[in-house]
Amino acid sequence: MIRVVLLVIFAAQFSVLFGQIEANFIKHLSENQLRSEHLTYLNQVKAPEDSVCYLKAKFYLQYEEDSLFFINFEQAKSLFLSDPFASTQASLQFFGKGSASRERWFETLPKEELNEQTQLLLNRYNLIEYKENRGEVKPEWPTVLLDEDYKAYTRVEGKSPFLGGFLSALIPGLGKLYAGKRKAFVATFFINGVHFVQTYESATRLDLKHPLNILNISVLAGFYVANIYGSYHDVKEVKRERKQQLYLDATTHYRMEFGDRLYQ
Amino acid sequence: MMKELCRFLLCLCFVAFSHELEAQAPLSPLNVKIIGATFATVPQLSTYKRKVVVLKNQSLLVKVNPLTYLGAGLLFFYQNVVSEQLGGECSYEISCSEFTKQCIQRHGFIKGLLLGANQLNTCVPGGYLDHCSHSVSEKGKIINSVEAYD
Repeated sequence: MIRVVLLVIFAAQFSVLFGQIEANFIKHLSENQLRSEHLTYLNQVKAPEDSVCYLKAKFYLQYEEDSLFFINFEQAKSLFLSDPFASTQASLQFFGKGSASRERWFETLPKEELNEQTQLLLNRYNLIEYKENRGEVKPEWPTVLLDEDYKAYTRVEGKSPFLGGFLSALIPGLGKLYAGKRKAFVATFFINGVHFVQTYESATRLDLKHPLNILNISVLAGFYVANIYGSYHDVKEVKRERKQQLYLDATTHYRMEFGDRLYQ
Repeated sequence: MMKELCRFLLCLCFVAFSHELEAQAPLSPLNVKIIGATFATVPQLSTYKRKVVVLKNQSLLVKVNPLTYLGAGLLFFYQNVVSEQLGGECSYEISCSEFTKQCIQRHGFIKGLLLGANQLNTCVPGGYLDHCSHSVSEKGKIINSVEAYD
């Protein structure tokens, strides 16, 4: 009888043991980049669903599989956000990524109950994307590089691509100067200028219907229209570039400041 | 008139480039990248493989059109014979001729040609100075992608 009781107690403890998640073991798998072993363990562990999703979200965050991360994050949102290390690392990672992932992460964050680092990154995101609090207080960036990046971005933020195209139609390359590309302006102006002079010379010396004239005028027209079309795209490209550079530099700085620990 | 125009263009080039002569200026991330590429111990050889023409996922009209093959053949001749002799080096990661070809394949003839001509307009040594450091590769070339113009 006593043996049966002891056996039942032992079996109960054994099953409870199997149901627990070994946090130190997971931390070891993560720190040593044992990806397949880590995933195998997570797939076999017996625990409540939200706990498993929370651990899987951290796994996919570490290995930058965004779509799988978001699937698991949605099922363990409160648990994930209550972990300051996880929410900070997720915010840092998406802060430096492309606009689609970044927007998806920061738009789903609640406004309250965030840790200090995540709140700071959310405030920076709102400042850059939605110009929140721009007029009230001058934003203080922690380094000179970030301050310069921010100023460079705000300088081009309000520029119109159509105005860039229009300026290039007036003077070839002026739209590129408007976008902030000085070298491109000089090169475009020089190339189109030389083309124009050469076409003018051949038009005055030869008959207008001469094949060489037709070729010259076609090439000049092609480069001129390309300059207008390119200036339109350049203004959009410069805005995108400056914004992404600001995000990347800010991510580098804050990663050094906050660290890169994912597990306690 | 020609002489005056030439003088004006020369003055303009001087004004545009002279502001870059700052020997004591602190190194920006972009300059660090360019210096690294310039003084790299291993020569940075281009290993990009060019295809003559890509007909995958193209319509039947494109596949049977003789102009497709004429254009591809001319470009193949330029890239493999003429360009090798000229020895020029493009400032962009995808060279101007290859970029034009890929743009024509992706965006159509007119838009592709305009994008290629625009890149030709701006392909100058030192063109990377107009871009942020993340848009410049480790080899000192401007990163240009065909998909960005979708």
